[in-house]
Amino acid sequence: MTDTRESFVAFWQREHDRLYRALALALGDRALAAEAVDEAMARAWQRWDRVRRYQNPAAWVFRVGRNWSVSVRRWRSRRPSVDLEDLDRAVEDRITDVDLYRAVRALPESQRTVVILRFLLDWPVQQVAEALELKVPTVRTRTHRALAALRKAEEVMR
Amino acid sequence: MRIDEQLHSMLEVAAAGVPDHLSDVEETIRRGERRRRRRRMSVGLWAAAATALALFAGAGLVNLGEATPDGPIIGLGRDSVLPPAVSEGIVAVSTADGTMAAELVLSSEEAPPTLGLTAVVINQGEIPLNVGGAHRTFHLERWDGDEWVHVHTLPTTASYTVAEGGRSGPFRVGYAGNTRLEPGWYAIRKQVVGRTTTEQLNLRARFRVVGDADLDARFAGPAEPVLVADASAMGGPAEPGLWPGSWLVDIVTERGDLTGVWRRFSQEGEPPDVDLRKFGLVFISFASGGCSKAFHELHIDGNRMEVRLVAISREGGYFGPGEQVPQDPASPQFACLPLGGIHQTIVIAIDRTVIPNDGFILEVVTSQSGDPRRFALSGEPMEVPPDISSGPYGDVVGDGIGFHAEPHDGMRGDQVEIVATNAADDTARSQLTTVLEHWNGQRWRPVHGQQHVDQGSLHAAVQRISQTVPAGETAIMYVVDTSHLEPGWYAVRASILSEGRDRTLRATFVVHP
Repeated sequence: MTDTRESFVAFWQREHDRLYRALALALGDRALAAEAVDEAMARAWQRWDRVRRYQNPAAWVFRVGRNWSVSVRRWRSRRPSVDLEDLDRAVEDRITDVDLYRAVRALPESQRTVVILRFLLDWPVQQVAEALELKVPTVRTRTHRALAALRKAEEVMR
Repeated sequence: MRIDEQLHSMLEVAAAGVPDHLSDVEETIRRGERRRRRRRMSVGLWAAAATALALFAGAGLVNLGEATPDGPIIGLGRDSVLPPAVSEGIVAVSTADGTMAAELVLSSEEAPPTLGLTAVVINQGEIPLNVGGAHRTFHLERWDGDEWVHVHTLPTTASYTVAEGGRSGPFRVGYAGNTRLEPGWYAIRKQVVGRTTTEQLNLRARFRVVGDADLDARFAGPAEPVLVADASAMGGPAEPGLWPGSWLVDIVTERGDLTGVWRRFSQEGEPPDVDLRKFGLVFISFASGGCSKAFHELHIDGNRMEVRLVAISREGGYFGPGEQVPQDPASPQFACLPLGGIHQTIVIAIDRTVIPNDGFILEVVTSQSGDPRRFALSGEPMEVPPDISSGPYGDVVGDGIGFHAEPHDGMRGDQVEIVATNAADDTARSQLTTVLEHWNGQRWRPVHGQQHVDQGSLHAAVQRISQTVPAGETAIMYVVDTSHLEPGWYAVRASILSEGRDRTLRATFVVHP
């Protein structure tokens, strides 16, 4: 039990913040992301004996958090998030490449999530596919389309 | 700088700019523990046969875990359907020496045209049981609508002590004198006593006679055929059309639905007094053909609920999932008679917190077949009932798939189009499951009862226009004719396959008078 607990605490300390920030950028809603990562982590602890043996427990947590968010958004009647502007303001205050950030924000969520997992968390394609329950070719296609869209947006802005 | 490198740098700064979320791993663990305890209450105990309580043995089961020894279901068999101090299925009492629990399992032993009954007592408790000696009689009883009435005493010459986890017999139960059983419910009752206590348990297993059955009395005792009836007259379908191979399932989460479903599954007496705020009841009925089954375990994963049933051996044991049930009547384990017209209903009480909120797929897996039977059922009441004044409510969309009704609200007689927008990379394809649902104030219910996934039937008001939506396109998948629909909220729930995933989507609309 002690070993189980220690391994979960280590996992939580390593991944909690990274996954929260990735979810916040993917969802465009930091409050929802905070709830989602806490919920997903609690579920991970609930079945940690099994989850810890997965090749990518973080991918599992991301998937659970994201699915939970989709469900919660549905019940909240998809009200426009008041958090979105706050998040963008907080982020844009720090970055220099605001145009690129806005271009990422403008991507469809399915592509934006792939971009964040691939280029923020540096997850390999296989792990992204696992986290999003997609086929590997689908992840490649979305990555390709997202990059093409970002290049195009950048050209327009020059 | 390449775009991917540029992205990486920008995203790292952006992520750092996301306001901190202060959380605590200890709080996460406490939250997980609370969830784990809740889940254990409802699901983790299902596999523990000794702690499951049966409402009916052979005819139906209601199971609960040990965590609720004084819960609402335990008393219901005794209090509402059966006389005090008599139960069916696994009966348990707590004694100073530990839990005393046992089950009487009745099975058929001979092929048609005769039917022999074999009774086995299984000790499911923690102390040995005396099932012979002064307690060696069996009793044949008949249900007269209010109570069990004694018909015959069925003596045996056997005397057993059954250790913890052990089983007796098998006894072949019988009585003196020929008789004819009128149609109705009958039960074999057996009394057992704890070897180290004075506590007694009354065990009962019931069977149903639909047509007249001539019974030939010979002898009561092990190794002798005793209770013999015309197999073709035993049992009966739960409702017309329920024949070998056919199944009926439903879920009840509201009191108002319970009596109707209870009757539809041919259950007698009053329905159980279950607290439906805490539990949902899943009903599974099937033509067992003499192959009695018992509830084994339940798993819930997302919108899939898997119920595993196991066949009961003639010797009282169970055949686990995937195990082959002997089909040879000469086999000592043979339990599966090819009888027509015998049905079995299993009712499982499930903690509502783990029942999927949305529609879900119920898969029933039995010992005999690795292929599950699949059914689509509506889930629990939604957290927020739809408010007509608030406009479209509750559309369920998948990643990359839009699914909505046009118009969202209309007058009775309007044609409502169910439109799918496919923003994914692959063609989206509707599966067989498409259900027209009505909001009854608390939950979505299929307009015409349950839907069998395997049949893929559509409600008469729903017309399928297109089965596929190419990537990047929008298409009308269904048209609903509202001419014969009562005013209220409706939904089309469909299973859409896209990018290798099967998603359950729902498009809602309201019909005004």
